[in-house]
Amino acid sequence: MSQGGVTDAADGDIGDDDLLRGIAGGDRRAFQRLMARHGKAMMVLAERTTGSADDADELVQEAFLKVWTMAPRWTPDGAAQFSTWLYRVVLNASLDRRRRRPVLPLEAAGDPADGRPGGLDLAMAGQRHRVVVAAMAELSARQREALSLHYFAELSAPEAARVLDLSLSATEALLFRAKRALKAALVRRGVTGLGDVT
Amino acid sequence: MTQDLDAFVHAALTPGKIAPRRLDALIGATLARLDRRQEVAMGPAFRAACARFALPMAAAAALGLVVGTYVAPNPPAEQVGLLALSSSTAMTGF
Repeated sequence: MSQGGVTDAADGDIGDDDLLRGIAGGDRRAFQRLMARHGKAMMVLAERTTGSADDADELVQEAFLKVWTMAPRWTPDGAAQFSTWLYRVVLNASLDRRRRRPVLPLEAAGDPADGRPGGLDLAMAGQRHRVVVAAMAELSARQREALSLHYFAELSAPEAARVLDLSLSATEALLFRAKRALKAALVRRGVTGLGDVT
Repeated sequence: MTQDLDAFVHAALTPGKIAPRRLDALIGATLARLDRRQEVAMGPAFRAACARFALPMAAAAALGLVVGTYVAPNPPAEQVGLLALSSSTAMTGF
């Protein structure tokens, strides 16, 4: 836990809708609390999707600026959860950012830095990440969204279903097809030894 | 060696942890941007105030117009001519 940072604010039992009402009235403290509550998950999703911490910070910031401006129009009718809406905004922005950036060939990553503890592992993970993202780029937009929520945001199938606005069974079927397509794309890129998709 | 697709992808991911200090910095930067963006800074509070007071103010203005025009119109202002003014001044000695 940070020392004296804004994330130290007691989260309490105040719901997202109550915080959004506060934000609609210009309450910066409510804004801080909402961002402290959801910011980390959004940063993880954006960083894993774009492959860049800087891009992730920028995209999450933009998403929360959008929260500030849309708060007066937010209607808590129970049908749409705030977190579902936020996941959708950050996911779309991250995939869009990813699409605009060309996928670099593996050679462009260069050699792993020597002498750093864990440097080789980091470099290998980075290389794998590039392979995964490049393979995902071959899939349909819907399959990319489903896989990003499943792998990058680590959402459960019911949670992903809400973000994708699909039924649970449709989401599970989409995920199955997406994983199968991802495996095929990885194999085309030279990744072997992947077991059956379950 | 056979490995699970999930395991392969998970090994490629950055850790799912964000340092609290990084989140604090992001919140601070976002608040600073709110301050800089004038439209956003006055956005929710200003719009909320407009939504709350605009209708009553417009209704009051319309009511004032109707009352002023049809219900209690002012009589035409009395024309005070220069001659009348000078004669009354002369009569009172000022």
